[in-house]
Amino acid sequence: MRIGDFDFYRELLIGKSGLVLTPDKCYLLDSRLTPVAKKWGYPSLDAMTIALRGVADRKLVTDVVEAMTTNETSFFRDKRPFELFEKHVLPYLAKTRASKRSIRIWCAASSSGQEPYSLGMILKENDRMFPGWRFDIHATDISNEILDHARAGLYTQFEVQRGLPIQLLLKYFTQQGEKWQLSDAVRKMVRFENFNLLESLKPLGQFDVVFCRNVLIYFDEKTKRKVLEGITEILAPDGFLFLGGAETVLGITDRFKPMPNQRGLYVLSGSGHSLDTPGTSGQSSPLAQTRVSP
Amino acid sequence: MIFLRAKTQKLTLSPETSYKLFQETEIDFGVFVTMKSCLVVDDSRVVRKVARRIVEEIGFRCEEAEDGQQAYEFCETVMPDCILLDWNMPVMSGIEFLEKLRMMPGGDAPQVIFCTTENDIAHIQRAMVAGANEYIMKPFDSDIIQSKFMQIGLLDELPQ
Repeated sequence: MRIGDFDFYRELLIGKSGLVLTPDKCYLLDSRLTPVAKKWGYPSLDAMTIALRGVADRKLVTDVVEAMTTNETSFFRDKRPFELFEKHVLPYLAKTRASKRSIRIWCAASSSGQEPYSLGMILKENDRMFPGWRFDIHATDISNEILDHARAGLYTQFEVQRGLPIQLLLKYFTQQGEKWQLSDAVRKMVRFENFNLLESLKPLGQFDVVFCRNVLIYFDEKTKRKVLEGITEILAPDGFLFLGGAETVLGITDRFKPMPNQRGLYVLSGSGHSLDTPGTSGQSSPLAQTRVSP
Repeated sequence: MIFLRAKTQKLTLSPETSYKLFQETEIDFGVFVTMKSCLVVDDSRVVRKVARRIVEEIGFRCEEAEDGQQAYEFCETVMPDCILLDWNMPVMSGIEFLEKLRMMPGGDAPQVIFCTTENDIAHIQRAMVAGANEYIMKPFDSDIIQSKFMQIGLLDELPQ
């Protein structure tokens, strides 16, 4: 690929999705966009690039952006954030949201749905703590194709074996040929919607918890700041923000502070949080059971 | 004479070897014994080889057995920390071994992960009732094994 073409895609992706394409990811352009070129009937990637430089079909641009935004995910990815959610965040919300009996969660880049569905299963496993509560898990992504996959809740054998405890597979999935179908009970808990993180977040409403994991790593600093400061406006004053293991707010914004000893968990600066009363719900869940040390 | 096997900067050492070394050298090699052990039970040599590479990579000492009977005899001598267990094997099947293991004194200690081509709910349920801790449907890869090891607390964090 010519340097000029690389720069062209770089500009296009930053502008449309905030994705920062570094030169070491040049190979991704070839591997991910060649199928797009084929789908649109171009003889080669170069031919598609020329078309894009001219008067580009907006749908083609969408396809290019979708193909380039990564969709790496798994159930209970990294495990610990979900333990923090279950053992610290949920008991806190059970107390502080008791009068309105509702919890709103936003998964900012939900990909094929494993993250919001993992949260849904945790809520189901703990439903005795929340009689008559309303849960709203709002899951967004920029790719329509991946959103369709997520809504279907149909996963391959490989996907259901990454991070998903076998008890939860037995409890919430049924076998459909080679694939595994998530139950309607969990699927109904999650609302999927196409959303671009570069837009204003305000229309989404207010959330108690925001999962924005492994998204910021693809953005440049300016975009990271814009997204993080956007989240401050839609997060409840005592709400929680989860970032990915390799992500931080340090040096980007001082509106959030990390919770001490709770890696990946952030709260608004000045919220006076001290989550030092760990969850004492006494309930055991398959996730908790899995932590029995030998 | 005892030879130490150094692998990717980690020493693989059994408790017996460690003790013999201590007698010979008066150096306490006990620190290496804290490495957890994994018994891979599968009648396919290829599968055992692949599984060995993966569990050694994540810091386990690996032992092998070709069928349930061999695994049972191994456990009579020493209980491993975990067992990767195939279902269909000659002499003694995985499920029969698991049922026997859980009856043995100390047999509830090892964490047992089935690792089999049997991928229907009935088999999974039967395995869990018999006392399995986790279940892997073949084909597997290193990500799946690591993810299952983490779930049942055999691994704290994925090695970066």
